[in-house]
Amino acid sequence: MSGDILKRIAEPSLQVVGYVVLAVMFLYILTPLVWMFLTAFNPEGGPFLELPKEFTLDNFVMIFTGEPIKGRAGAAHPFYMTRWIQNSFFIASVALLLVVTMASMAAYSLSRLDFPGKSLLMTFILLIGFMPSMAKILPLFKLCLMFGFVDNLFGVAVVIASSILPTQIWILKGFFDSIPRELEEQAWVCGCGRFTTLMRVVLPVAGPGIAVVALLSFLGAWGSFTIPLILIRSEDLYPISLGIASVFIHNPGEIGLAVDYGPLCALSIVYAIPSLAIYYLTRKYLMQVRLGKMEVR
Amino acid sequence: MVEVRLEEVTKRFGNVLAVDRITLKVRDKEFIVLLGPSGCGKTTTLRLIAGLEKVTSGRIYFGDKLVDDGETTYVTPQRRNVSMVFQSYALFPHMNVFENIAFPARIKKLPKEEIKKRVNELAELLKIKDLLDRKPHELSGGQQQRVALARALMIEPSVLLLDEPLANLDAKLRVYMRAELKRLQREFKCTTIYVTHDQVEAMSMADRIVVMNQGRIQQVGTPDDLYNRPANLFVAGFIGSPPMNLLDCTVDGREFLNFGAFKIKMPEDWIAVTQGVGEAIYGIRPQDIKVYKERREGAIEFVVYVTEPLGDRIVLTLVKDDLWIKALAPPEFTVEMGDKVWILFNFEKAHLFDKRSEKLLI
Repeated sequence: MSGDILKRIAEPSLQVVGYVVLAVMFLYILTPLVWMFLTAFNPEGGPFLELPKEFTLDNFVMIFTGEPIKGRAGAAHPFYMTRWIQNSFFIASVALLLVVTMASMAAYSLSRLDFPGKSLLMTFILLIGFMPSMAKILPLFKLCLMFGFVDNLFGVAVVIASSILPTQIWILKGFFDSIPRELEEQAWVCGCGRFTTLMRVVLPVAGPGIAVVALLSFLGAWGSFTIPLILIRSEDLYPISLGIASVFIHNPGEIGLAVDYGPLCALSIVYAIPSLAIYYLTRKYLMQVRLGKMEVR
Repeated sequence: MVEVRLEEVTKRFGNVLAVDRITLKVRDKEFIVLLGPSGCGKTTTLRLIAGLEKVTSGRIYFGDKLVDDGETTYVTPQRRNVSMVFQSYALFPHMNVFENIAFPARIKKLPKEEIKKRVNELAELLKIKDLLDRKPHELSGGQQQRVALARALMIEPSVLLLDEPLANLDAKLRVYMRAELKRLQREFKCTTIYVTHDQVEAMSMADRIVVMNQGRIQQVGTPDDLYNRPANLFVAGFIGSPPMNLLDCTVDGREFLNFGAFKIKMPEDWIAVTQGVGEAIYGIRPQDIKVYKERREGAIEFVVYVTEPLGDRIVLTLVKDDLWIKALAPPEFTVEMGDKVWILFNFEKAHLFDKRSEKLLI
């Protein structure tokens, strides 16, 4: 009986404690985002969380036109938002294409073919993937100099793709492994050659996996900072990540080195939108991913 | 529609001998069933015929055409014109039912109108007309099975290969589909090779059954052959439910079979065959044992160990010393565990196997 009473008291109170913990974590995570959002639309936003007295789109206009806002201390350094977005899109798209084509071919052969040294090769790929890209940046930089990849958007995309590729091969291999061989054999019996089987059966069935790899490589390249930082010198080749950093460095606000928060927050929001949009578009596939296993019947 | 011939076909996977010198002729339009326990090589044999595996040695012919000899000739599955239904059905998950059925015809580039007509005919025949827009994962097991079958019948295959197509269905549906499949095969008149481990399925559908064990053919014959004239101990034990009683015995003197716990006098025709035989195995089906509640001339006394009423009959497990047998009795035959019964063997239906070679003696 006493156990029951304890249970009756303890269970609800545990629940309350749980909710309090969750609420605190929720606030902790959400507050900076709320601040960023409010500040972006606030004509007088600062480093404090405050409700704007007026609502404005000036910050967004400013980052796209590069024109300073009237009545505010002018930006010492222009914004090239449109150009940065173009650069980022270029890098991310090229990286995506490279990773998807190469990872799907590599993963398919690793999944279906048997050859000597296969497990060694797989371990090697994994090790390279786990190695932080900064650890190999010196030889990589040398290599980039040789190939003319320095200060070259395509070169940056290739380097980023190469750093993303190994893990994506592993992810896709998991997907191909989960496609029953019988599906392919069925296709062969129906008259498909290897290539037709790949195009008409394997790739469509692996669709969700490929979508996931595409999403991850796009986001990886879109968010990449250090590789462009090292490889890009001209300001008109900056992707957004470098652009935001340059604003920090070059655009002090009114008081000394304080940052002009309004445009920066607007910048950050614009930077985040493609990632969110892509997530939204591919969420259907993401939901089908069950840790690399698909339900195929 | 062709005849399929396997000559001395052997398949090894590394050190594992999956199929061991199989020679078999599947006649044109015949429904043949490969029957055996799991791992007996029946699925491998099917895959060899489909071309999904290459033979290690031996030859496979489709009609007069050599399709695989393990050396110079190997015709790929794409060019053998076979249809196959896998145990998992292997429906393409990204295509709807219509596209799944149409797939082989699309690959063969048949005209669109013809494909549409044919798919509709097959869907009608297999009662899946309402499902053509659905995706495979929206179908029940039985529906998926029929879609797979429709796809296999879409083109007119030389040989229809079925790998345990009913294994994933529930018991009731399985019985229904058994009859449907048999009817379809007669209707389409295609040479059909069907793999199963279920002897009831094999008995009820096949023109001829190939019993396999450990990569070898044990016996080829009609269901009647296998049931009434099993070639060896394996076939005897595998065919029939409840299985045949297989009792160790020795030929004692000239005319007696000694089971240890008792002796029986053999009929005249047995005596001639059993001369010189020492240890043997006596096989008798449960339905060929007569059970009485009273003592009777020549009958042997057993004790009822357990009774299993099945409605239309009762399966009795009987014991004498350490000898166990199963017998069938009519439903009105009421006995309790521990009761004494007397049994008579029907020698007309019984068999004797050589203990060493396991071959049928009589």
